[in-house]
Amino acid sequence: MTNVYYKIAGLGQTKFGELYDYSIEDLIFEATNLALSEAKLSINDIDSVFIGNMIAGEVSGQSHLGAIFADLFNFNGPVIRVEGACASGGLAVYSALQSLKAKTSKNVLVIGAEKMTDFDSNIIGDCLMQAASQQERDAGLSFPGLYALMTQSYIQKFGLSRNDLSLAPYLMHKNALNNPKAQFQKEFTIEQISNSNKIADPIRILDCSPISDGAAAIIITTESQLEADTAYLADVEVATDSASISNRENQYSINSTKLASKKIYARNNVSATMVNVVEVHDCFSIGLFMAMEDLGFCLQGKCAELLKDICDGKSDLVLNPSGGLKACGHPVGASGVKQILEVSKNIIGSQELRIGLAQNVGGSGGTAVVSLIVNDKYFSL
Amino acid sequence: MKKSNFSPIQNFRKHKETVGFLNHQGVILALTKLENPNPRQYYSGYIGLIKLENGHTLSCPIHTSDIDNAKVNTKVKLSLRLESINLDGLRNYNLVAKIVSE
Repeated sequence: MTNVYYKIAGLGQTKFGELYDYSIEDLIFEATNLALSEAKLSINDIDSVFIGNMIAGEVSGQSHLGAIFADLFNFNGPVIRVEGACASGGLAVYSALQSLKAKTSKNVLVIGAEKMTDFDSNIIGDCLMQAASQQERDAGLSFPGLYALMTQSYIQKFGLSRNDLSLAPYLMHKNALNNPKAQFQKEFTIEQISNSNKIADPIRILDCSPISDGAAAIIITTESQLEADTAYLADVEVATDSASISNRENQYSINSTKLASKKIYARNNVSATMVNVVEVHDCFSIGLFMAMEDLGFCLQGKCAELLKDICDGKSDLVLNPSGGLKACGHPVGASGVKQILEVSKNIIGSQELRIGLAQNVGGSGGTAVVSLIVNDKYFSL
Repeated sequence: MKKSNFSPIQNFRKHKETVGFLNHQGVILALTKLENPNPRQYYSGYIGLIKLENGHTLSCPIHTSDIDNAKVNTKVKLSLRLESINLDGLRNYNLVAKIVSE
């Protein structure tokens, strides 16, 4: 039987931030061209395209992104827009992998793109609340409000000081200093984070990922031979849970993350202890805490200790090297693809970093996508 | 009366759900205050995660008159609030949680 490997052949990302000069079309165009250039491929080598996007219809008046892509690149193959709130990018990668496994495509392009800064935050907030339940919208909740309730539940269950919660954005901003594509390249002290303006008690402004524009693209090709210094998409799994936090088992963890990661670990004989680099969905500070615990990097309620070890250099785990959603930015449809791009960048050519993980969440946990990315050295383990 | 901006079916479904929870009692599991409440709704901006006595859990704003006294484990009862008045003057009602006096 011939071996099949899904090589991450090209990576392309725009800067994330307030890109007033860029339309959704410009973002897609730039990220795609960067990925094609790195892969040394032309658009004619691509069999199908998957675009992760949540609110192009509302913000740009353009829902038919497949046809827009066809216009931009004179492409007539399948182009499928994939939507799953903030997990749109991760779901696009999942869909692409199914296409490759089914052999309907040999080379696929996956783009995550979002344009968010053309309207004020109240309007964008309403658009994003489409990812919550009707009952939560009727109650007047916003996403900061939802995650504030989850933070409160976490604090009640495990205890967590304000300064310990601030460890998440503190680390993210430090990491983003090394990422020229990040929206923010500024460090904050724990005290500055803990004392920043309140948004929804106990969430402060520096606990919140920003509203951002941006796009990320990866090209995945089907190969029969391994190449040195290359990243491969080993597996992707999706799990879902109720849209409403009220209908879940508890509000201090995200069950869809647990379900998806359990399947990934079981299928690939991998555990969290073997993972060298991870990108998790830190849309709010508590999101990072829940992610690390739900993925099994630490026991429940113990993420603060892990973050302290990472800050003190006592842990080898590379966490959110991009700066995470908090400091790199969170153009919602792009984040899931950016995570895989960032993990790939970190393991390509590395002797030490062989196994990477990405966790992308939709809404408050209604969808979770967990992806396993490895380099060539993984296959000789 | 002029035609509402809501479709009659949307209004009916929301109304049915709202009425179904009226007068139910429960306790506050978690509570947050939104510094920037939805400007299109009339409510306090204090929102609780409330576990009802029938086992159902839902999110619900706290009545403006109770925001100083509401905290985790406070017992509340679900009542009606005016949520919004649309451009046609149609009033939409939704749930609010009021503290139960012991």
